[in-house]
Parts: sequence; structure tokens; C-alpha cells
Amino acid sequence: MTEKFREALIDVFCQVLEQIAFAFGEETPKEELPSDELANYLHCEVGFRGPCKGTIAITLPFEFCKELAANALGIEQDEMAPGMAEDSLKEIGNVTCGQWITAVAGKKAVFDLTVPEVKALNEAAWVELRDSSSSIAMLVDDVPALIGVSVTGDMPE
Amino acid sequence: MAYNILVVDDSAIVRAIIKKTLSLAGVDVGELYQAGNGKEGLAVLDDKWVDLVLADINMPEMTGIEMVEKMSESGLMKTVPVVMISTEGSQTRVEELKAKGVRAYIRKPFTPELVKEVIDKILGDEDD
Repeated sequence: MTEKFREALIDVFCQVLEQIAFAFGEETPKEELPSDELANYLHCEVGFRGPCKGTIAITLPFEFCKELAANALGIEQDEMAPGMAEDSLKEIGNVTCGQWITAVAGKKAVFDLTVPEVKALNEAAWVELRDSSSSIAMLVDDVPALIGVSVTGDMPE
Repeated sequence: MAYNILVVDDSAIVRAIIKKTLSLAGVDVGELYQAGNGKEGLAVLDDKWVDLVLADINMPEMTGIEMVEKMSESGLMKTVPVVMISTEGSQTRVEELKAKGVRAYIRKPFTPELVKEVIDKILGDEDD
């Protein structure tokens, strides 16, 4: 991940969180990420294909995704329909991917995005992802998050 | 005048956000129909009177672009205005959509003010 890609991803992710779910994020050293052995996580991937191809990934605790969904809808968590936690992360992934592509490739390049996919991660899988060199550690409203991007080919400038 | 609006998006949360946004924007909505992809959207258009379609691009089974192409084939694009609401920021893609007859493009995330401005312009033009 180049420095440009990394910085753009952090900026865009924070803007999207703020605009969609009124949440605030900041990068944090991995060793300072809070740990919760009982937590379950949701991992979202959105692919993009055009002049080059790649994937944006976002991982957040399941319970926090419910909070983000409630924020986005302006309702209480107990009023939410099933699946809204997954749906909110998919939408955050989708918008982050679209905005990130424009931030790094400009407005002329055309990319097709895949439909976002979400899967559950347990604590062991979260730790493995956290320790990989491709992930960036974030705190969103003091809750741990991981984001990352992989790119194959040359991104247009 | 109340307008019947069809929202086509595979995300239930986005459909709910659009519904809330229309309310916050003060758009006078008669019936708000919802569909999870282009195919379901076409089925609604077959069955109901719709004044405006708000559609995502990137959906499973049938994308928003494929839905617009089908609407062109059947002549529906001439009578039902379509606004795309999506995350893509490519100017080239927006021009492609307009060439297919899409009336406007709103980029996510959006504000109630922007949605109202676009809808007022399109439905105001239709009323003239």
C-alpha cells in the first residue's frame, strides 16, 4: 500500500463515517488497539475493476455496526430490522470505495465496483488481520477498526 | 401535488435513509415503492404509476444501468424520469448515464437539500 493510497483511505473512511453515521475516526498505533476476546466482528470487502483492480476492506465490531446503523437511520437499536448492522457496514464500504477511487484516480477514470460482501470474523481472525502489514488500525468513537486496500496494476494519476 | 417515487437499491438501510431524506427534504411523497434490484424495479414500473425513480447503479441480479437500458427499450425512459444515486465519482460514467437518458446523478453521501433541489428541478420541469 503506497503512502498516497494509505492517507487517502484514512481521510475518506473518516469523512464517510462522519457523513453517514455521525461517527469520528482516527488512526492509532496497532499496539494501542483495545482488545476484546468476546467480541465478534464484521468484515466487509468491496472490489473495484477498471484501469487497475483491487479491494477495499473494512472490519468493525458487530455491536458497533448496529450503533452505526442506528445513527444513520436516526432510530434506537431496538427499533432496527435484522440485517441492518451488516447493511450499514456494506454501505460504508461501498461509499468509501467509490470516494477513495476518485481521491486517488481522479474523475476521468471509470471503475466498476462489486456488490459489497460481509462476513463474520471471530477474535482469532481479527488478530490475524490486525497483525498483517496490509491493515491500518483505527479508532472510531474509541472502538477498534481495521481498514485496508490492495491494488493490482497501475492506478491512473 | 404528491409524487409516487420508486427507490431501487439493494441495501435496506439505504432505502430507509432515502425515505427519511425525502421526508426531511419536504418532498410531497404519495406512494413510496421499494425494490432491491433493477429487475424488481421494472416489475414495480410494470404494475404501478411512478412519477420518479431513484436508483443505485451497483446491485446484484440487475444493475441500475441495465434497468435503464430495459426502460429505454420499452419507452419508459421517455415518461418516467430516473435519477441515479450512487457512490461512483467518475465524470465519464456520469456522462454515459446522461447519454442513456438518466436525468440527474446524486453522489453518496447526499444531503436532504441536494435531493430536494434535484427532485424539484426534475418534477417541476415535468409539471411545466
